[in-house]
Amino acid sequence: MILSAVLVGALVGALLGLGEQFSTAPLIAAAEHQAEGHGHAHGHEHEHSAEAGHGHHGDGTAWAPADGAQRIGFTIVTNMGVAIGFSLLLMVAMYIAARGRGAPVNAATGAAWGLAGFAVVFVAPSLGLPPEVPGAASAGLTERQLWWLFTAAVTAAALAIAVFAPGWRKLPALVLLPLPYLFGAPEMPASPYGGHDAATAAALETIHGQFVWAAGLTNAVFWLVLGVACGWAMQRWVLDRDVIGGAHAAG
Amino acid sequence: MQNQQSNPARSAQTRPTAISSEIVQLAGAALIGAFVVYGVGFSHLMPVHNAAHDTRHSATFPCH
Repeated sequence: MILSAVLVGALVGALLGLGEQFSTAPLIAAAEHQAEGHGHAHGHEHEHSAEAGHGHHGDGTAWAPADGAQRIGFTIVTNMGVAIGFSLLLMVAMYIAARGRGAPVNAATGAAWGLAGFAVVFVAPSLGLPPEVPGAASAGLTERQLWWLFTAAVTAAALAIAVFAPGWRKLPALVLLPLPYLFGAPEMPASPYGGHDAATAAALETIHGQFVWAAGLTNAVFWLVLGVACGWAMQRWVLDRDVIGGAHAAG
Repeated sequence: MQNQQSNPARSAQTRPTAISSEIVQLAGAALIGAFVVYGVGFSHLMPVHNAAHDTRHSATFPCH
């Protein structure tokens, strides 16, 4: 399972990394250009060398990939990493569902798993913490990361209960789903672009609007492809005949 | 994760070990997956952040 997850994740992640070069990366670069050109976001002296292009945090001495091929390369490699990680988690979930509930695992059900992953990892956290472009001020990083993880975990549990629990035992899903929003996402500043002058703020807001759509579409396609690939690979390489046979008999 | 299908090929003695090793493998795979996603998406180390920067924004992980 680990080997097939690595193969699937590496392939789909590489495609995602390439796709991002046409969808989200240009918008990230545009936002950085706006934010750094006016230089208030993080209160640092901005350097004009290509090396310093987006190493715009901390003390400026931390390593950052150079703009161009190196940056694209690292984006592709780290996307492969994320995709491998998500593949593993998705395949474990598929395996447990197949083994415990007799859920069939193949490319078609993989598409449903992929959409569930999109809902858990993109839609649910985005409702509380919208996708961000560089240059936007926000609540504390650790608080947002914790809320993100909490929301993804709760949504995953709610979906699993809604799909796999029998009869009235599906009900807890209705309680779980809104929980992260009742609990509340970390509070955002009233104006995320308040640190910039009006023209920059307006430009960043326009970029942000496009970015939300670009990120949403990119992630939706990514999860659909990842789910189908994981379902196919699980059926082909991982699940032994016992589990598959049981799945077809039960389903 | 109870196997609802009766399988005469598996004897009563071998099943518990088979199931527990299965659980260990599943937990291991899930842990590796979670660790990799966390490392790329959530690590506060600056070089890691910078390398994964565009990936984090595109995946809408909290980044800054």
